[in-house]
Amino acid sequence: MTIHNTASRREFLKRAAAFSVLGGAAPFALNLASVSALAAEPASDYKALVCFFLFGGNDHNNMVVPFDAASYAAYQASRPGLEIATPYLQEIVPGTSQGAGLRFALPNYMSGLQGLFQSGKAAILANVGTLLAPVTLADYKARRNLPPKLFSHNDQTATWQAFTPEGSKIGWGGRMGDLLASMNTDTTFTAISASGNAVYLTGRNVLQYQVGANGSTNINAAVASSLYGSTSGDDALRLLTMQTSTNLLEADHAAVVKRSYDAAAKVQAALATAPVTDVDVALPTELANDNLAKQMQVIARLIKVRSQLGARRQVFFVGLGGFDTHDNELTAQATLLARVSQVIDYFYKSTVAQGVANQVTLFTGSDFGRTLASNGKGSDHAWGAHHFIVGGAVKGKDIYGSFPQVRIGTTANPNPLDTGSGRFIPTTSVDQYAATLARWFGVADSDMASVIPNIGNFSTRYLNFL
Amino acid sequence: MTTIKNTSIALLLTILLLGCGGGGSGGDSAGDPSQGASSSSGGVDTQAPVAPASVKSEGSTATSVTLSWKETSDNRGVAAYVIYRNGQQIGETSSLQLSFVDRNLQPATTYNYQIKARDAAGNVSDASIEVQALTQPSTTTKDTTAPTAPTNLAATNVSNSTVTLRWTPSTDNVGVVLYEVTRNGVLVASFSAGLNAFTNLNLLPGTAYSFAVRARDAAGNLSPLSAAISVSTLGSSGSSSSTSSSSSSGAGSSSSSSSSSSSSSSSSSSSSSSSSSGGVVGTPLTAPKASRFLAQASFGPKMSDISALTGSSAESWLNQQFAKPQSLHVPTIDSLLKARLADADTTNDRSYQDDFMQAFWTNAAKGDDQLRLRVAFALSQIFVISFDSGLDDSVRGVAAYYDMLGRNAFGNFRTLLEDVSLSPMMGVYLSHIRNLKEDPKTGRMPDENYAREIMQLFSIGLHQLNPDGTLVLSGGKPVETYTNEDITGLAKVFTGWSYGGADKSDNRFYDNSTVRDPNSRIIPMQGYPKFHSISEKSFLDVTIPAQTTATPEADLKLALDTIFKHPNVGPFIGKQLIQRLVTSNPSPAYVSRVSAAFANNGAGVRGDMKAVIRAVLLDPEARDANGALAQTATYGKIREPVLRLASWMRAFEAKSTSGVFRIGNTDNAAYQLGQSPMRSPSVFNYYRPGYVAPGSKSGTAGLFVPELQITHETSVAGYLNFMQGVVANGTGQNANDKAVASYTAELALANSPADLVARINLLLCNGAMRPANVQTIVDAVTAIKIPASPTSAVDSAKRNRVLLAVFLTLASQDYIVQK
Repeated sequence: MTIHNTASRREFLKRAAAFSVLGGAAPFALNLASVSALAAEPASDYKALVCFFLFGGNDHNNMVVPFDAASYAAYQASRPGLEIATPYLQEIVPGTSQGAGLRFALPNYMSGLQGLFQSGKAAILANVGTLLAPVTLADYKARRNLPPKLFSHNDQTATWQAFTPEGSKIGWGGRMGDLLASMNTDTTFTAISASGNAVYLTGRNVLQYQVGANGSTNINAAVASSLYGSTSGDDALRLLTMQTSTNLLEADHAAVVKRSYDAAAKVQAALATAPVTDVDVALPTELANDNLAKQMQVIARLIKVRSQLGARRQVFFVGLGGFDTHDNELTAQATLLARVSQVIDYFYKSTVAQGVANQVTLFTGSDFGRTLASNGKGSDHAWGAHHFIVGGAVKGKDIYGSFPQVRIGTTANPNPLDTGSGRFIPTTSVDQYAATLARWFGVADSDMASVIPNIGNFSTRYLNFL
Repeated sequence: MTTIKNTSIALLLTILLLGCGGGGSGGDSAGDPSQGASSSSGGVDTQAPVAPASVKSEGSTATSVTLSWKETSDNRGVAAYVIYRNGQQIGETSSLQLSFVDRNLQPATTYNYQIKARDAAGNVSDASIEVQALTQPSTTTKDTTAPTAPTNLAATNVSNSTVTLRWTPSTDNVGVVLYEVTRNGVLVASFSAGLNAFTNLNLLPGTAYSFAVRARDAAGNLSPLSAAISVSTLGSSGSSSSTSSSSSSGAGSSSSSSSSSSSSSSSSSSSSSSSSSGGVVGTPLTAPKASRFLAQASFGPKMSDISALTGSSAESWLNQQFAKPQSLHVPTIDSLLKARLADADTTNDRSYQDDFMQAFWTNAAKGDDQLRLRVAFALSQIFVISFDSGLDDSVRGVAAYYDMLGRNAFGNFRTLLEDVSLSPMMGVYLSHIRNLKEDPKTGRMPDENYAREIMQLFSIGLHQLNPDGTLVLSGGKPVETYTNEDITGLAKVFTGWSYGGADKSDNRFYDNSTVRDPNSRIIPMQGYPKFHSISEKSFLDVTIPAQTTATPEADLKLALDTIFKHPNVGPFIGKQLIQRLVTSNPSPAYVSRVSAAFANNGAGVRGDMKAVIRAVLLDPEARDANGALAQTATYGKIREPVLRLASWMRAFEAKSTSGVFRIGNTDNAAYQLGQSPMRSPSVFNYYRPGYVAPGSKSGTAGLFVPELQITHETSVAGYLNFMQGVVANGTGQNANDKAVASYTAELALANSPADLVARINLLLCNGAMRPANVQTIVDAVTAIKIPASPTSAVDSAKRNRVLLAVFLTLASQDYIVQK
């Protein structure tokens, strides 16, 4: 507790410094001194972390597939009818062996990510999931140390993003933002969602700012010369929509309207300098009408105009729904993952074109993985899953963590990770995944527990993918 | 048929060719036969239709002209008519529509009209002969006659804090639009001329007040004030019995006891279905209280609703509503499809999601069974299915599901749960249709999707609840209601279900089109023993032993009975209904009262939805008799975007030429509402009942604010921009099906900003907008100056005043948060 309090106090000072910059008084020395190792960074220093969330629980079993004959046979036997046939797989060759003879493949509709992996720009983290602390099968059966509400969409999504179930208020993306927002001249643009509201992006001070696929939306009345012929209408509108209120619902709504009013013009002016046709961010023709691609593009554009927005550390969020494939999985997931792969490939190329590939890291997350067993048309909610990390700074072409034996445990041949129907206990926690990303992003080791409260429960804090 | 189809294909090709070729002189290359009904040609159509003939003005008002014309011809058919006013294109109609109403014109002005016909290839005919039309003189010059003063003003119901007034209506050469009530010489209320009664609330006890009433017509002419009457409220010790409305008293009251007693008898009778209140009328409502109640219990108040309910009670309104026939959605789907099948165009022979949207908005705005419609909408956000995944084309099925929710809204929850579980649309959405029993040989297991969500979302939730909705704690921690093993056990119950029909053949199970029942998407699923699990099924402390014969129906009954009996259902569902209708954070005591009504309707019946609805809407915490709760920091709910639009439609009685409102989906948060009926992004609805907004004051205070989940910087701008357009121009897909407000009553108040804003405040904010905000709007409205002349400028300024007042109110926090 004492240590925790100390950390909180230090962090409080840091925050006080960071946010007093906005208020006018600027104890900049204190600010810099408290953010370790940043003083030496050049002014052009920039880092962005992009969370790409696959809503619904992606079936990781059909995303990274065992490819050596023995493992493939076990995989196939575990989900007959739901397996991806070998002609539709393309091998990926990790630099580090996961075990003698083990080979892996991605579906060939994920050629973009396959290429990024092979060229060393993408890594895979195997069997990662929500944990409070390492868990064994005996723990699971005794219901010891388990994260609450396993297998529940909304709760596991919240746990993934904020380490507690639905109702959580602070996500680790936002917490990273808290610690590093002082580097940004306008903290509004520290945490940006191109999808809807995501708890991941909210810290104690940092709030998410939401953008549409085309950027920010102006309130027409605020930019027009008159409102129904009234030149004073806009003043009334501002008052009525943004005034303080003792009613907390009204107050919260007013705060959102105020952020909308305040930021839209600035974002629009900045984005105008990086239009959708800009060669560094333009979408390839096949993605021109894809909503997900447009969301990814607005992030690419915001990165391009980062200096106009005064941003040096940014966390972004983008999401795609539809991964809850209980039914029609082979078709549905292929369509989704093909888009994911294409869009991530586009995004990586945009960061290369912009010259920021080493400063932007994208990673995937999802509610949970899915059962290895088939229900005849799809799969069900499970736990650990595989995920991608993409970017110039990534130590790619490798699989990190521990790849599970892809087979369902039986009495005769138990699988120590299988809690039933191929619901695998994660061997790496989201905490470790997050800590590795946070360290790269600039969070000091001493601050890590304030971002990832349970990180101390894992003997290895950081993985080597960054 | 074949010929017509070929024509359609040819037209399609034509459009494609034009689209690719940039619309140049593509006709040269085609050698297109220029005449006749040549359906075989695939060439480019370059022949324009014949110019429309017999164009004439069918009549005019001060602000509109109605045009008509004769059908004209084209080698491949006319696609649309284009209307020009003074040389400017102002609108289009489809080829079937041979008339057009041009609105928002200036009075006493001559306009020139021409019509052109256009075919599908884009060829436009010559213009018709020009027709002149003269609008009527403006109403201000036309109508200068004021209404007569109201007579026989009387106080009919007096308590220590309220006075109800009635009077004999005024007469007017055109018609009375509004009545205005003054108290001690100050205007205190204005409302539409539907009902000649008004209840003034929050008066001081034992105090004499002077009341008078005047009438106003659409042109703004005011009658003289009626003779004033003096009424004294009862002394502070005097209690008014809500049931003895005929025993009205008060100095100066020439009480017309016949009218008041008839009003109370009409409202208290016919409550045979009322089990708890025993025919008691309940507290008479004032106009603001009536408006507030209707905001919770309907898609929003109209002035006539407020007037009708003023002096009556919430209880009697509920009883009336329980008896009303259901407004259905499937018939709209069917009739639209029938019309498309009958017309010449075979490319549109299907149903569209917008057909459902049309049914939804038309019913929401105009349906008489408002309570049922509103509760059904609430249920659709708990028992979620969505066009958005898997049901894109199942328009009729989704409409039938919605009608099923409406049917069960006043039924029993057990039936609702079964109808939901057996809905083929739910079967598709949560994938338990054609769910196969486990297969030990392959390791295949049943789909767990529905088993999980029926418990997590539709009935008991994740944690054991006390009857007041708070968590049962064990060792300081919540107790989970089920484990994953309960899910895998219950999943077996939901195996072997598929579309209903005449038999249980494998072909029907697999939905083979050769045996498909035409109503398979709207009738309940049926059990197919062959595909239903016979192994042991354990869930929620119930075990169905292994069987030799599959019994899907019996298994389902046991499962649903078990879930239905779970003590969580009352607080779990009851609290969500409170959140949908009344407030996001009800007190535990409020939840417990609703739970109790769920557990027992007073006659020993569990799950009676009418009892639950009564408990939700009549609870002291919902009615907030003295208005104190609404002043607290935590009360209320963010009015969800769909309700905001619906309330606007009702408050200003939006109309369309056709009588229906074809409003498409309003999904887009950047320029629409960010929410559409039946298009939730997932089974978790647009927002969760337990949503805590990160980084918010409400979150810090431990509050749930579900609707904040879809509130962000883009959505708030999108809403304001959307409504700015809607307020002025209406909304809808075709000119004829567009919901447009004429603001007749509001325009009549445009010269008096305070009165105008008071009216809008009563309609949209149940008269509870904080006074400073009322003043802000009054000032903004007043700043739009109304010139002395010309009439067109006067009317334009008046209209702008109304539009501004309506829009600012729709934007205000007082409207956004329903309290």
